[in-house]
Order: sequence, then C-alpha cells, then structure tokens
Amino acid sequence: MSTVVLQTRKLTKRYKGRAVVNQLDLTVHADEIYGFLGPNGAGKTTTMRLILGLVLPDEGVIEVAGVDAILHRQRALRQVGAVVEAPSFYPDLSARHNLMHLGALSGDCRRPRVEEVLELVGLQHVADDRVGTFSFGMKQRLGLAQALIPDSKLVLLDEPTNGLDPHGIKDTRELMRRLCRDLGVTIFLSSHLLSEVEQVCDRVGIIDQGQKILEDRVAALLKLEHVLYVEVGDPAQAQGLLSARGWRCEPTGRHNGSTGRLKVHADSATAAEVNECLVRAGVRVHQLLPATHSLEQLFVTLTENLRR
Amino acid sequence: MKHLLWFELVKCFNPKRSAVSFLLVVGFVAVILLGLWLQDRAHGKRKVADATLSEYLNAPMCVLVAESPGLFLFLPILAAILGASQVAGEWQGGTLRMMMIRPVSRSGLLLAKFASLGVYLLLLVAWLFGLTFLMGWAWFGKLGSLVVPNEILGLGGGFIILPADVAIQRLLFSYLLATVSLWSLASLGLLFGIVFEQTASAAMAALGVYFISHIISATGLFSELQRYLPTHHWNWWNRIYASEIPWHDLLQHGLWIAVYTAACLGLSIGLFLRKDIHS
Repeated sequence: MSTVVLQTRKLTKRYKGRAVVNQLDLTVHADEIYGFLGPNGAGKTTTMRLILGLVLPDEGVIEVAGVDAILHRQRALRQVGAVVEAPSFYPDLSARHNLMHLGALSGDCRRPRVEEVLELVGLQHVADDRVGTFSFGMKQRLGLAQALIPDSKLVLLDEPTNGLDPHGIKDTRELMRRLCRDLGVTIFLSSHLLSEVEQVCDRVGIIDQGQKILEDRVAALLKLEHVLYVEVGDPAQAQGLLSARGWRCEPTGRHNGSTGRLKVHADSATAAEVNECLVRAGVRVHQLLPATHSLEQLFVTLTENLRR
Repeated sequence: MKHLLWFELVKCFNPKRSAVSFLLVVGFVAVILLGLWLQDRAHGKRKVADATLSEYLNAPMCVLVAESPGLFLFLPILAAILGASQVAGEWQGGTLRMMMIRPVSRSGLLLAKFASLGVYLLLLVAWLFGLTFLMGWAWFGKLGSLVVPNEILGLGGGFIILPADVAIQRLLFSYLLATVSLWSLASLGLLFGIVFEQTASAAMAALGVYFISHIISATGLFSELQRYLPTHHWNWWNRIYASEIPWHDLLQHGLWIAVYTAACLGLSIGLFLRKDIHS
C-alpha cells in the first residue's frame, strides 16, 4: 500500500448554515495524479482552499504527509505547492523576482531552482520581463512554476490548463506526467476537462454539492476492470450480502445522508444477479451502474442523478 | 520572517508607488517654499521680536512651516491609504492568496506588513524633513534661529524663539514623534483593510476616523471624550516647541498612542487569523 500524502476526514465547511463541503473524505496516495472532479459550485475550489489553509474548516481533519494541516499549517505546507484559481503576481516585478520572493517564503529561493522551473514551464526567455506584461496563458505557466518552487512533494492544481493554447495544454499534461513519474511529485488536479483527467490521472474523486460521490482508479471507472457501482439504501448490509455471495466489494462514497455507493467487482453481465440478491434481502437499490468507457458519461450520470 | 520582511519592503518600495509618494513630497515642499517666498515679499519687513520676518526666513523655518500641513494633512492621508492597501490591495489583486498558500504565518505576515510600512513612512518623513531643510537652505541661504508662532501650532498667541542649535534638535524630535503618529494611523488603515477587504473603503474609514476625531477636537464638543480621541494624542509633535518640553505630557501621549497602535494591530491579527481568504 502506497503512502498517503493527503487525507481529509469528515471535512466540512459551511457558509451561512449551508454546507459547501460536507463530511468529505478524500485520500491521495504518493506518486499519483489524482483528478478532482465536480460540476460548477460542487465545492472543489473550497476544498482546495481548505487544504491550503486559506479557508478555515468548521469540522474535520486534513492531513498532509501525516501532519495535521489545521493545527500545524506551516509545517504541513512546507512541501506543498499550489495554484488556486487564476494565479496572481506582482505586476511590477519580473517573473524571476516573483518566483524568488515567493519561493523564499517556502524556504527555497535558490537561483538554480528558479531557473530550472522557469525552463520547465517554458518561460526562461521572458524571465526578466515584468509580469504585468504577461498574457493570461503566460501567467498560468508562471503559476505552475511557483507551485514547483519549494521542491514540492504535493502539488495542488486548480484548472491548470485554463487559458493555455493547445501547445501549452499538451506541455502542461506532459509536465504533470513527468513530475509524477520522474520526480515523484503527487498531483492533486482539479479540472472540468474530463478528457484531460482521463488522460493524465491515476485516480479520481468526484464531488457534488460538497459530498464525495465516487473515488476510484480511472482504470476501474473506464471499465478496464469489471466493476459495477451500486447505490443502495443500506451500504453496510449490502456489502455483507454481496461479500457472502463471493463478490468483492467496497464503499466508494456517499450520495446523501440515507444512501451510499458500493463498488462491486463483477462483470456487467451479472448486474441482474447483484440486483436480485440485494432486492430479495430487502435492500433498496437506487442505482446500478456498470463502469463505462467514458469518464464524461459516468460523471454526467452520477451528478445528474443526484440533482433529480 | 527575514524573507517575509524583505519581500514586504520590496513591495512597499515598488518603483511606481515610491515615485508617486516621494515626488508628491517634492511638489509639496516646492509649494511651501513658494508660499514662504511670497510671504517674504509681502510681509518681509514685518517686525518679529527684535528682527524682521525676512531675517527669520531660513532652513529651520521652512521645515517648521512644512510640518503642520505636511504632518497634519498630507502624510496622514498617505499613511491611511498605504495602511489600508497593505492587506486590502493584495486581497483585491489576488496576491494575498498567492502568499497564503505558502507556509507563512498570518500574524507574521501582518507584522511584516506593518514593519515595512513603518520603514516606508519613516523614510517619507525623513525625505520631507531633509528636502525641506536643504531646499530651504538653498533658497533662503541661511540657517539660524527658529521663530515658532504659537498660533499655528495651536498653542495660543505669541512667538517662541529657539536658538539655532536647539531648533534643529527640536525639529528632528518633532518629526520623529509625528512619524510615530503616522505609524499609529497606518495601523488603523491596516485594520480597516482587513475588515473591508477593499482599499478604497478601508482608506475612507481610516481617514474618516482621523478627520472626525479632529473635528470633534476642534469644535470642543464632547469635552469628556477629548482625551480618548486618537488625534488628541497624535498631535503630540507640536508640544516639542514649548520653551520647556513637557516630558510628562509626552509620556502620557506616547502611552496612549502605543495603546491605540497595539489595539489596532491586535484586532487586525485576531480578525485576520479567523478570516477566510476568498481573494
């Protein structure tokens, strides 16, 4: 089992009594690219802000590399880099100076490292230009560069390809893969681009209305494995029943207070059997969904179903 | 903390902002000197003590004349705006978020912002003093004794004449005390910046407190309240020109100012620690 780099437990944030992040449990392992998906207003950015200590939680636990990020925020963030929403910089300073000053706040302002990340994001030729003269896409690249400055072990990226041209998008994807594969950087990627997530992520977590509705490996979701997702009234009872019949299953998320979702390792051909087993035992089956070939299809089905 | 303070200083002294502030002081000093020159032409022969007004128009006099409007009106406006923009400006620009996603303590950040602004205001006051002194010296060509008209300093009628050596010391001391008052006003701007998250609103609020407090003092209303008003204490710099420096009064004013400043900073930190950053 790989090391857990980021974990949230029962993470909750309320605004005016309304929970925008609700009892959220996430687990991100070392050396993986974790895709964080959800419709607009699902609570993705608030979750990232909570992890980074920009927003204070009402309940729950956040651990970064085993350090409580709420109680020991500074220690937890020492090896974390992030881009949350559109990156903003000091327009009168050059790209290099912005990076050196921001890097110094993370305890790393070594010139070679700054040059290295400028080259990684393809901004070495404009390193001495004022950031005020940069295009949005260039600022996005610089945002990515500043996230890598503290020699980060965990990088949180919020829509990192937003505003980039096709070459920039391709470069960013390759960079993410390279960082993860070659440098052992764990990436937590929030994105609306499901194709992007499909291409680069190892695992995904889908949230809606502040709650996790699914967290699994991309390969499993894309039916590269035989998997069924079953939403039931009593997940614990359902898990017991299905396990007794020899189907390996585990909970993957909740829908709301009264239902839960199980991932059942079974071929879609056995869906009727799974359903029958549960219904006969009196377990209410709200949804039975085979893994699909498209993350988009799965995403739309899951999030639309919740809205009904 | 060292990096944080250095970064805040770099931001404070960014070329555009510094050019505006420091050039404004140049313009202000030019206006003061021009005004004094016109006064000299119109009333230069007027007798003051045992000499004419012209004879007392020298570099220390220029520094004194610049002090009242400069430290009562001009620099307090700058201090309030700069204080307000320290957090609110970065809040609006989104750069506060970029800093706070790093392992930086919120209280440390605020203290670094206040300290860097303190240095900036100190240098701005030193620039005002030095420039007025040098330009006054160049213009009127002399140093010498200082005639302090009690009236313009709110100390009643008549004049106090300070000998040349004492004059410079008193002027320096007075400017230094005024700087402390500016720090205190800046801490109020900082506090409002955190409350309102907008530079304009925060600066308006800080200046509102400053001027309303002055208006209350000037109208003599709420006499029981007077001693608690910040401006009652922030104007301590003019006490320096009394023939005998009232040390006891200065100590009291200093303590009040320390309490105001500490309260503003304490409240700022308390609020900032609990604030969600959505910028």
